[in-house]
Amino acid sequence: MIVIIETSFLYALVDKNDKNHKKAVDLIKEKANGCTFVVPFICIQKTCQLINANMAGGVEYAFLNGVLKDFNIEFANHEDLARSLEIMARYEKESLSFYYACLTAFAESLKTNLIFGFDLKNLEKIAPHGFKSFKLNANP
Amino acid sequence: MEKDRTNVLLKKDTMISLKNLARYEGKSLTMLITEAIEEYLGKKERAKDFEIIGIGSSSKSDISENTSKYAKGGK
Repeated sequence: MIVIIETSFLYALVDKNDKNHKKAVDLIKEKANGCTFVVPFICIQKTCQLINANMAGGVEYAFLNGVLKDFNIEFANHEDLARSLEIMARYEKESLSFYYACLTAFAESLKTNLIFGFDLKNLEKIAPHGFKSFKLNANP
Repeated sequence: MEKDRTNVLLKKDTMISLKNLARYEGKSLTMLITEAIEEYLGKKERAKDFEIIGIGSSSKSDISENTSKYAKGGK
């Protein structure tokens, strides 16, 4: 099973003071055997932004080292970006941002609707192609 | 399950062993190679210790639920 690891989940893993830290750690350890964790590159950038804005220096470098070692990273290609634009247009009324449209495009190309995160209200009404909705922190 | 195709070049002796094992076990080459790769990846996955866990701490506890707000700053 492919699970997308979103920024808020990555951040919760890093920050031991975050209220979702334990939940994130328990979930990733529990699912490590049966799931393939994929981190979209856009989430790495956003997590670095959060780390730099809220933590001491040095954490960003350690974070990047750890992500490279333990996670599968997916980069957007031209097709993903084009699909993101289509998704933004489709959800124009919801004012879906490029970030969430990009996550949806990644989910579609990976053929999964499983995503781990704690700040995903914007995805609640989104249906990636081939699925009725996203499954947020659901049991794969 | 969704599948992707890939090509792999194997050494001659590996291929001979693989074909013999496939005959002996009554499986296809694809089946054997898939099993071997999945077993290998399974071992690697179990070995992961997720080094990023708890490497930092901030002064707030709700950042993971308000990422857009906190990405803009506020140590």
